[in-house]
Amino acid sequence: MKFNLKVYCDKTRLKDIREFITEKLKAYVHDDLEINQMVLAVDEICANLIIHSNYCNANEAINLEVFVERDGVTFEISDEGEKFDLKKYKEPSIQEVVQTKKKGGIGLMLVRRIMDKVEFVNKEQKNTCIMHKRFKHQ
Amino acid sequence: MDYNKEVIDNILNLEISGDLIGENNGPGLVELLNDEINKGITKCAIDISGVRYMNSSGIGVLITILTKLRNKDGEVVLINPSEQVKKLLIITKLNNIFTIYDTKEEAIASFK
Repeated sequence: MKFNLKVYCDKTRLKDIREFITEKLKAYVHDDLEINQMVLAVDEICANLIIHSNYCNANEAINLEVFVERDGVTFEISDEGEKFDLKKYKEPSIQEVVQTKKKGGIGLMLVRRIMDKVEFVNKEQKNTCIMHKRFKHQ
Repeated sequence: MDYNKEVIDNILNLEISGDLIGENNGPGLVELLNDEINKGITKCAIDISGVRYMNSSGIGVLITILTKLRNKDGEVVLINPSEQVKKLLIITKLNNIFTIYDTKEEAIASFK
C-alpha cells in the first residue's frame, strides 16, 4: 500500500505530517509506542528539511511517500532544497549538548536509533531521505 | 500542550500534558521559568506523565530548563515519564543527566 502527502515548507505543516503518519499507520500497527516512534522519525526528518534545507520557504515543498509492506514500512521524503551530507554529520554527545547548549543533531540521533535503515540519496536536483522500519509483530 | 504550575516551599511544580514540541511550547515554558528564577526559585519538579508526544525540540526545552536552573546552582527533576518519553530519554542518554522519580512525593523529598 502506498500513501502520499505533499506539504509546503512551513513549520505549521509538521502537525499535518504527524497526523497523516499516525492515521495511516494505525491500520497496520496496533502498538501506539511503535507508531509514535515512526511518527517521531518522520517528524524529525521533515522538520530538518523544512527548516535547514528549505529555510521555511513556503514556495518550496517536501513530498512524503509511505510504502507499507508485509513486514515493515518505508518512508521516502524528498525535496529540492539544500543537500544534506550524512557523512559530515557527527552525532553530538548529550554531555556536550548540555554544556554548550547547542542542541543541533539530536533529531537525527533519534531517527538513526529508531529506524532500521536511514539513507540520503541525491539525484540531480532532488534529495530523498529513505527510511525503513521492520514491524515488531507481524 | 497544557501545563499547570504551583510553587510550594520554593519548589516550582510543573505539570505538563499533551505534545511537548519546542517550536510551539518552548518560548512560553522558558518565559515562565525565567519569571520564577527572577523570584529566586532554583528547584523544579516536572510531572511529564501526561506528555503523549515529544520530539527533539521538546527535548531541547527540557535541556534549556535544566541548564538555566543548574546555572543558578539549582536542579530539575522529572516525574513519571510515559513509556514513549522514557524511551527517548534512554536513546539520548538524558536519563543519565536528569534525575527521574516515579512520584511527585519522591521528587519533592529529593530537594530536602
